[in-house]
Amino acid sequence: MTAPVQAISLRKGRLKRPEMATQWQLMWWKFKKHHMALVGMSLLAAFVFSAVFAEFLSPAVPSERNNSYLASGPMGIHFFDAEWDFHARPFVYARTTKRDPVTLRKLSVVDESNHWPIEFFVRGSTYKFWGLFETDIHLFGAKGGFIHLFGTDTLGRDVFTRTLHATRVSLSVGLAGVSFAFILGAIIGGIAGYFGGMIDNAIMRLIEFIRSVPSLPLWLALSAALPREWSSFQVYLAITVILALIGWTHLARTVRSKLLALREEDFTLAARLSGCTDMRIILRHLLPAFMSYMIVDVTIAFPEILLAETSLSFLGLGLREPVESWGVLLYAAQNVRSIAHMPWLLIPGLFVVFAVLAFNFVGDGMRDAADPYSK
Amino acid sequence: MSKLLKITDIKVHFPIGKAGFFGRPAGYVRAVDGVSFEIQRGETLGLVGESGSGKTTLGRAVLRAIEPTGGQIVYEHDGTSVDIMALDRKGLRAMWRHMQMIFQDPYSSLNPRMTVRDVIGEPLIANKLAKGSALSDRVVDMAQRCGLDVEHLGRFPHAFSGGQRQRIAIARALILHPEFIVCDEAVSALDVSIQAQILNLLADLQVQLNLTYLFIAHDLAAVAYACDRVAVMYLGQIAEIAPTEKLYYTPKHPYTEALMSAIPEADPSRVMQPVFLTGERPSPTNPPDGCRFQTRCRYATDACRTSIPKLREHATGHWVACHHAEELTLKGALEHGVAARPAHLDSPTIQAGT
Amino acid sequence: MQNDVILEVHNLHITLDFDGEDIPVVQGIDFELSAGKVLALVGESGCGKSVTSQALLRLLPRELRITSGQINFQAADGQAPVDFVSLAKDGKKIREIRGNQIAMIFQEPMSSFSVLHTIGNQIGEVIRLHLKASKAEARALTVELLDKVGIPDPARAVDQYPYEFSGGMRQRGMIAKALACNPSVLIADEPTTALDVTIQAQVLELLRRLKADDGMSMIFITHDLGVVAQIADDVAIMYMGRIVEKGPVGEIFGNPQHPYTVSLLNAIPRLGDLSARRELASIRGSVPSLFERPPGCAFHPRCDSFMEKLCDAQPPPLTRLSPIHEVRCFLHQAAEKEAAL
Repeated sequence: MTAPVQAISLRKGRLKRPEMATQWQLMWWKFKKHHMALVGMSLLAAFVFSAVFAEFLSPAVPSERNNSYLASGPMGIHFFDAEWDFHARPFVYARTTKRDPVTLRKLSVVDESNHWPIEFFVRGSTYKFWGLFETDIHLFGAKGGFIHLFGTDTLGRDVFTRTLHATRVSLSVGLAGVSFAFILGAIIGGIAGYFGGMIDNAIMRLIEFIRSVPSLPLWLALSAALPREWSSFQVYLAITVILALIGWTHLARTVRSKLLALREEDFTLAARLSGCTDMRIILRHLLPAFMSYMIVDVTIAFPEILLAETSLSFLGLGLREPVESWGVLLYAAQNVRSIAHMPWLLIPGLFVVFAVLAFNFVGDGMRDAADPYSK
Repeated sequence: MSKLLKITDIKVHFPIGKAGFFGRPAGYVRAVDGVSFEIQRGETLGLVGESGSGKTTLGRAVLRAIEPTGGQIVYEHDGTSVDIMALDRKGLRAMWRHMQMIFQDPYSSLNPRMTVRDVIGEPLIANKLAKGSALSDRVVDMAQRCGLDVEHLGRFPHAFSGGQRQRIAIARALILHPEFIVCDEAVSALDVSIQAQILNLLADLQVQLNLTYLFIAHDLAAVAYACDRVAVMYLGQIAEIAPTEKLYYTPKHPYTEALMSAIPEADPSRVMQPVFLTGERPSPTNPPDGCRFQTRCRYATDACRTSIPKLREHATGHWVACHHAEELTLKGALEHGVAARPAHLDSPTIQAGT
Repeated sequence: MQNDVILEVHNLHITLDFDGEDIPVVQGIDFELSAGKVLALVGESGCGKSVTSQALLRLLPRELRITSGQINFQAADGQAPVDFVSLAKDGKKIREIRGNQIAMIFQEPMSSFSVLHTIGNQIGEVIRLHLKASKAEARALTVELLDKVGIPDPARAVDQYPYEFSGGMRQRGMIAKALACNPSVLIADEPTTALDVTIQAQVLELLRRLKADDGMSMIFITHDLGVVAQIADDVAIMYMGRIVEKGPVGEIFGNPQHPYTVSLLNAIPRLGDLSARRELASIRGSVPSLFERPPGCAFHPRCDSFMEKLCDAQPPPLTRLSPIHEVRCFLHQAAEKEAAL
């Protein structure tokens, strides 16, 4: 059944001039046929967008405490009020505080007679956007009061705001970890694949050894070794390195096996006979050929590192307050009491799930598209 | 005709099965095991043999695209003899300007990520022989010679059919104006009608550019058409070399006989009567003693089992590695039973479909 | 159906579902296979010969679909003919026919063997399943079959694994497996293409013997005209999903009438006269993609006898040159008309 399939690629040409299409265009056409991958891609785009513009998108700043709304649940957005009157401008019900007569704890009570309308581009707490300039404009806010879409934690901090900021940290830790792993993997795998023989043998055994060490205790040991007095930024860097140390083995294997396979391809030999130097063969023929596979692998490695970061932080061994990451936020939801009383603290967990799923969908689609020339 | 290439006792052994981390290989695949022959300028030498005979390895070893384990390759270039085996990487790269290769699979031999223009022009760029408009002119010229549409040079290989791709590969191989081309099963993957186009193109270019071919193939009919002389390989060694006609019609090696009698001729009135080989091809890791072919040869004697027959000149230009070449009368191609089957014209099997 | 016809294909159409668009792959082919004969379907890649062979047993991959036509099979038991097209694609009936009455062999023998079980187990399993034989009986039958297809030392080979077999032996093993249930029709899809010439000769000899000794009917799919000449009784030449010419092998090779058949026969290197090298007659251009099927006769852009406004206007009708030789070409339609006048 090769003939019709071969013809399909030819036929694509009639519609989109594939005879002129580069590798990346062909990959994109193939990727687009994968619907779940497109869904994953849009989801990721949304994550990235909210990570980049976290300060602006969130109604508060992460450290801000709302003493009149402690440990209280998500506030619903309404279009209809208690009398079923429609409001074109959505609103949240106002809250008032009163003391519980028995425990004397502050309680937040819904006041259905008062509305706090939601407005856009409102002024709120001051923040430094990207650390560059100060502003107090937020995308939205509740006029006359406050809005906590995902509720607040025990200190009264807005979970929605913190989740958005955590998205930035978690994704960037993942990205940094993956990039670092990518570089390590490409260099070590490249050395193994290019030189072959003894060096290859030694590197492969090392990888097998690293992969056979149970990962959780390894992380624990590594992160326990981090000095307590390190600043949160130093810890952040250290964690990315730790994550990369785990992630590179897989990538190195891919690079090596691809390199070994490509070295045997006829077109590599043809290039050699054409008088190409080794450097030219690597840059012009080998690298472009396995870049696509590398990207696939990175996409697949990403959730692994994301989960690793989350688990470490969740265990209290990764990032720590005041840095927010999804794992750090989930750390607060560790005990049964908080889950029972404040289930909204688990919302960052949903973000983790969606991010991992999205990456996996995209990875699936990329894997199918990685070799657009397969017959 | 003058000599272009002289191969002497060339060997390619691949190590297999390492025993332990630092261990020595458990054995060697003797893919090519002591092959000697000469190629004359302007001729086409065919190299046939079945899978596992080592013909592809030999083709690559001749160019040192695979490093031979031993032997000599002497190439006559500009009136001087160049010892190919003695060249360093740089010297070898320079010699490859004169020795090129065309591959079997036109799908894997072209980098799918480069446009046809870049593929054909790459040897010029890599050797720093041309750039700018000179480069472009030479690419266009060679593309036209190979029957490619110049308008399509900006396309990627995936937009071309197998035959067109093989034309691209030929253009790339010829752009440096080499003298010697190894055609490794260059037409085997192509459809019949396209195969004829490419065979014709290769023949035309040979005359135009004064090329010498080493034509490796398993399709004996195509080899007979394309080659002046043919060498038959079995288990890493050459069994017989002779001018095409002699080899096909009056083979002197029993293995050649088996090959030639097994060619299915496209003529239903000639029923082929092959000489069947018994047993299996021995492993090239552990070849039999004496003659390599003795385990499957119906004429084998004790001498064949103990002493190795040397490739010797049986008649002028007809070399054979068989102890009994003089005594045997062997069947050649086309010695079929003629019209041994009932005529088919009277078989009313196929009826109108409607 | 006529008495000796065992398999009859009538006006078979197959389309490829490509993103919801129907691309014709096989466009109305007809042929008949008589008992004890070998019919060769011949053509270049993309002509639809393999797709046709898969359709015969309803083995088409999901994206390919029979849109119309009939595949009538006359079982040996004398019952009424069955139309495969009317059967459910993976229903019980077609599964019973597959293997039992019609068997198939492929180019790549490894595809029909699992690497995990011995050859004997795999063939024996088929026998036990279809013939309800005991384990010992099945084993004995397997050894007999392996012997029949010419595997040396069958009693030992029965306990070997597929990887221990050489290419030629695997092909024989696959034929043995196909023969396990005594089918009356064997469909062979390029069975010798991947084989060396000496092994090809052995396999052809084996198939020829099956025909002569057991009266096996065969549909033989190949692109190799040499093999066709050596094994076929009848030949159908296909080009882009249509049979352009068909007739007995002697007629096709000795008196070809369709320009495509003629060029194809001229394009193969022959061993007749080696002393003088001559130009091979090639066919210009290449087979168009399925998605760029030329209108009218699909061969017209490559044809030397192209007649404007005729060949590119509509597909040529079937012309019967003799009761056994038919061709789809306007050249012959014109000749027929003249003769009628």
